[in-house]
Amino acid sequence: MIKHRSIGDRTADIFIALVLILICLTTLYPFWYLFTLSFTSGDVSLTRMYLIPPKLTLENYAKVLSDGAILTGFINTIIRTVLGTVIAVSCTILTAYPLSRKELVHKKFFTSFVIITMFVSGGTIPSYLLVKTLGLMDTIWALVLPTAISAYNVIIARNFFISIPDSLVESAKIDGANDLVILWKVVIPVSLPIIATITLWIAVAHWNAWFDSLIYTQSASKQVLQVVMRRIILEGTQDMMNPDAAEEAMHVNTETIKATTVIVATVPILVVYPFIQKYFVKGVMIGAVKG
Amino acid sequence: MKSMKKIVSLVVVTVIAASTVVGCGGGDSKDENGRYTYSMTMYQTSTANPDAVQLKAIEDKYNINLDVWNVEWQKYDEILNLKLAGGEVPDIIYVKTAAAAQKYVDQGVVAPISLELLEEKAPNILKRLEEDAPDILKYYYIDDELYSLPSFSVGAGANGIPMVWRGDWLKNVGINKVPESLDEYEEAFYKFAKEDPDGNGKNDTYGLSRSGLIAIFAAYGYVPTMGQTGTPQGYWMERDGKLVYSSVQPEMKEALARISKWYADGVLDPEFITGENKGGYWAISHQFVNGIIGFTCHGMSYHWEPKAFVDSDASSSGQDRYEFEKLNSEAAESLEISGIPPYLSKETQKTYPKKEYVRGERWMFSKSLVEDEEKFNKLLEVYNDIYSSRENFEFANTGERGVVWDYEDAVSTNGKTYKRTAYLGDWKDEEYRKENSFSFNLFTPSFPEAEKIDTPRDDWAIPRGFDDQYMPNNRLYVSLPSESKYSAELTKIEEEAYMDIITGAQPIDYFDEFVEKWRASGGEVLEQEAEAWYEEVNG
Repeated sequence: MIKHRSIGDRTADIFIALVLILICLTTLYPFWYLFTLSFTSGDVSLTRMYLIPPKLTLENYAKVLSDGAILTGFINTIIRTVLGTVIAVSCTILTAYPLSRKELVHKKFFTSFVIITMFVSGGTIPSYLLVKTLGLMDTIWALVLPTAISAYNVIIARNFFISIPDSLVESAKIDGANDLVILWKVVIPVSLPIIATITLWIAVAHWNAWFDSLIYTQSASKQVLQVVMRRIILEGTQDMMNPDAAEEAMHVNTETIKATTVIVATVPILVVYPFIQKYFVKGVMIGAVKG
Repeated sequence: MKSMKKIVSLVVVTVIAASTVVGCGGGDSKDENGRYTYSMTMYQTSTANPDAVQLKAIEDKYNINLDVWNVEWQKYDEILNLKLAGGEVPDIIYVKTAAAAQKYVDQGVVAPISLELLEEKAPNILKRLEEDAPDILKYYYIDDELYSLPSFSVGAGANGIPMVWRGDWLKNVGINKVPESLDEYEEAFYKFAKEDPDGNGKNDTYGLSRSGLIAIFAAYGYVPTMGQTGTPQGYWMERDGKLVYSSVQPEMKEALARISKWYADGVLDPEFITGENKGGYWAISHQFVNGIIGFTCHGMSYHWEPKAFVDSDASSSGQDRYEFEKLNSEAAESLEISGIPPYLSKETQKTYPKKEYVRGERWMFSKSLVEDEEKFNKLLEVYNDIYSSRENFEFANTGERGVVWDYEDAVSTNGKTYKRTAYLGDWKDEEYRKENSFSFNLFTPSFPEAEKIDTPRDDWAIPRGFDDQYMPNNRLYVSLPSESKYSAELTKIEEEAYMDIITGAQPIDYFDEFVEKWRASGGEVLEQEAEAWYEEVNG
């Protein structure tokens, strides 16, 4: 039986839908604008806004994708994202699971030990000194090790693990499984939603990170995509100017090239979202509610 | 459990192994070829390539090694501070601001350079400075010692802040000559706003926007923070032999009265609040290019210059002109461009000094380098050779003539033939240049004894008054001791007051109240410090 909805209800629905569509468009528009620019030929005036490219060209993509720095950056970013995600996800699980077990001695102490880092952090200079004295400068490890464990992710994962019934773990124990086997064969399979969620967070964070690469990497061959992209985007803005350099001799990339670089650097990680989306929503909800 | 232990020990061992491998290196005396290695930072727009052909050429010529650190320009101070905190001090440090220079002195990472040593080992540096910017060094003293060498460039040809009128609009509203006095300016602005200069039947044009204000303020004798494009900065200017802060001078009240009237009458573009550039390349005035305003002072003169040579690409003209040509090629011909003329300042009878080359940017040298006498002397000898002749300078700056580049004859759009710099061989390729270029110098001097090479730029810019501009400069070249303490608050007070007065949120007389408030909030301390510094330098 479908209840007949009043006119007031329906107008409210329409109003809400319109507002949401509007909000959606305001977030989509900047991206669409860049997308349009990336297909626009450079000899069109770029001081105006366009919804569709006034003069279609693929030249921008050909130019960007054949740029050596962008390609190296791409490869470095993929390596860093994969390696960093594997390390961070394993470290997070290996930390969160013990913290979720009642039988852990000094559980309270260890938990607050992790939580406290969310309020007090070392700061940039001590982190830099640490990475430097560990000898990680100019290596991929400087990008993946310092971020191996995030307290926030550990807490989220721990809360999820707590929600797993004790009886599940106990039954496995009765069957003779040790702790590692229980984690691997019992806990992880039922925790896929939260693991998928954390994986996505970490992967996106790694994909987007640039400042660590800027300070820890020296050689051009080790820089990540975002650093290269940033440099291209910032070219010609006031921030990058040096008043006493012969500026007019400088080669400045056009807005179309900049837009294409942004698209090239963003689309790969966007493509990942739909595949993990279903876990994403479920995972966060469960972790949060049961905390 | 066992496997867990194994994993842990594996991780520990890996980290230790990695640290021993990477931790090696360093050592600062000569290498096996008897070469000193100088680590350095510099202004860079792309990652330094340690194998750049031009870098190798310089290293081989002078028998030294240069280790260029990658320090991203936009985060320059931040990253350099990290390195310094980590005990990594480059031998040759490019410093971005006077404030940073002061800090490095306080931290003790840099050492002063003795003038006697410069005279003995690098007299050519002093000679070139004497030719182009006599007395410049006095501005680089900190605590009575010369800590840095200047960085500037005179080689770029005549340029300055432009005043650009739309000639077609002037004609459309019945004005047949470029306005010359402030009243004529006002007349033109009102006509631009009210008489539909673009003939589209809509009331959608304005006289001027943010950047044009600099010409108006300058006519009153001073340039406040408001009048500037780019990074706004408070100007300190001379008044009766003393250094004063421009934004609080009484003349600014008169200027504001005029400008706020324009705002009320719809002559000043209401978007002046956010400026004329709407993103992308900084020097482009979107408001002007899109035909919303008819007068601008945005960017520098060369952004409005037509393309120099007949055979060059259309995009080689100044960025503003190029964008303007794309939309309206006929109107581009009508642009009236000139430097800020002296007559605009007649009302205050003020003249400004010629171009000055003192900058925040400068070169400093690490303590360890200066203390290693032999190594520092070698570096000074290299600089001395670079500044001995234009040929040597060109070698260090661009590369060897005849190998990397050479002059060729080219016909300019003005009909004359000029010597033009052209790249040779591999260097013609832009990607190759990007990978292999490297410049090693302190500043770019003019070399008056060398053959004068005419450029289309100078022939375009000098008749338009860009060689000797009556444009005021900020004459405070150091960071004042209390500046960091007060400046954030003072900037806020000033911005609000100027904005409120122009938009009519406050009456004109609010200016006096603002000046009082500014002084009371620390401005007075800065005024005293600036005055004391100015007296000391010129005393």
